[in-house]
Amino acid sequence: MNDTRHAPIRRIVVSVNGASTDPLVVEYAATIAKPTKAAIVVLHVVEIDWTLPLDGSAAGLSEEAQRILDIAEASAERVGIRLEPVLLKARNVGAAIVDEAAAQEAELLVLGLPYRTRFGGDFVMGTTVPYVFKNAPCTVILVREPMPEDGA
Amino acid sequence: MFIIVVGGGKVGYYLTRELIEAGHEVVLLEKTRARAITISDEIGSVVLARDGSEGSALAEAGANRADVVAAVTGDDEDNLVICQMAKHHFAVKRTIARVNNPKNELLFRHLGVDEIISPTRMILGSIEQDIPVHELLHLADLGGGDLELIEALLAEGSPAIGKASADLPMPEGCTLFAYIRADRAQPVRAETVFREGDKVIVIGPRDCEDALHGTLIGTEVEAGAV
Amino acid sequence: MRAVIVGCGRVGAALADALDRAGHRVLILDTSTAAFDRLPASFRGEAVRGDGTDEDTLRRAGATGADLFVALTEGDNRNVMASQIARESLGVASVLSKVNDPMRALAYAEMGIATINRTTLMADAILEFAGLPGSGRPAVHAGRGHDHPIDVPFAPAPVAATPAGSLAVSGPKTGER
Repeated sequence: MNDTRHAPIRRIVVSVNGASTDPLVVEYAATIAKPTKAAIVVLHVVEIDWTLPLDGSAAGLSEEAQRILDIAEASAERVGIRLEPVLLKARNVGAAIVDEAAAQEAELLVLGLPYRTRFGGDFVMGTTVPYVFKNAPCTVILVREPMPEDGA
Repeated sequence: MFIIVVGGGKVGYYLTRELIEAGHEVVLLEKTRARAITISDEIGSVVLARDGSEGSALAEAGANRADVVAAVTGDDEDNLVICQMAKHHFAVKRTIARVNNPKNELLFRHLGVDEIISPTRMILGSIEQDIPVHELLHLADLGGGDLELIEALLAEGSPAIGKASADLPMPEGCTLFAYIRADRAQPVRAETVFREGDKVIVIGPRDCEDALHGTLIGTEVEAGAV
Repeated sequence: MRAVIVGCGRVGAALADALDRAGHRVLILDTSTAAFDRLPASFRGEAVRGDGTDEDTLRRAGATGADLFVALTEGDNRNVMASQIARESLGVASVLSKVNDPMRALAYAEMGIATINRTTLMADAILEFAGLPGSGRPAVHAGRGHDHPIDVPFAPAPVAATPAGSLAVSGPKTGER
């Protein structure tokens, strides 16, 4: 594997999932992409559980997925960049993100992490983020949602 | 085909790998989380860390659309329950169970498991075929396991020696259909008279062995021996 | 009657004692002899160390043709396997398995194996203690498609109120699905 510390960034994979952090993730990727004119792939993975075949049609799901990608593209337009949207169906989101980053030969992977206000407020890593950190073939940046101000 | 494999031991692991290589869609259920993670690190996102004998786990694994469920854990009772749940609750077409205690084979078949794989029986079978003992030799299962093919060597002391086939008291449902003399197989006729050293081949129900032993081998079967 | 109990845990031992006191012939099996310490000194039945999912063990212990067979080990799967051996191979008419997974309990009830669920039993007993209506789920699923062989009228009596020596097994009311 390449030592990614000094590799020039030409291709960035941005993972979106419909969370509140999606615009932040896209904007953050744009600030990195602009100076080097790197290409940005915006990836949304729809997790299909085992009760359905992977190759089957998931009409309702892809409508929602399209909406998520549209929001990402709108965020990109605001900051004046273009995105290449990719929609995948997979059994496991983390593995699909890692595989896509490898397939795209990306030098950077950007993910978002929303702040959960329920149960006292916390960042919940879940399973996807740790999986991507452990397995991604390139640098990974996690964009946290700003914590709400005290007393808010 | 879509196949659910339950049990991520050696058998389940290699089975899953081979099935994927053969182009099938496979999901493996392994209840030990650490083991499940190890396997998915090696062969990809095809592992669910769930106990496959739990109804909800089979549902999550897609038992509703599975073509085959293969239960290959190391515990017979788990394999039985997995197959029965798959068959009766999810209407899976084919269920396959690994059976470790060969004595459970008939029970499993009787209770609706479609196919039974018994590693113990297989190894036992090859050992028995290699050892020239003056006993009944189990050659193969027939008719879905209710019948078996048996070979008997007529050694000194066999009450069948010198008798015509028609005069032998054969147990109910057993048929003497061939014998081997001087390395030549020949059909048994009513008038065939057996000699010492003949090997006779019998088809009969599984529970006929004791009676058959008396007719062809001659020595008393110990009480409790199988 | 002749009763066979697989699993000499707290419930198994208590049931064995109760049946024994009521004058029934009891055979209890467990894989650990230490488990038999739970039986009172007065117990007159038979306690055999062995695996209740092994047909040979059950036969040798004399389980063939018993009137009642109850599987109460900690493993749901062991219990349903033992019960099916009892029903299919040992000719026991009345068979009950402890199954703690509700979905498995339902599935086996559909296949004609009667199951008893500890979770539901306890929840209902607690609700009853608090003067509240029960969960509405049956703690005992009688195997469907088979007449329930023990003739005890349907009565969701609280467990604590069950008199020693009687068996709180209840089948669905006649005509109930």
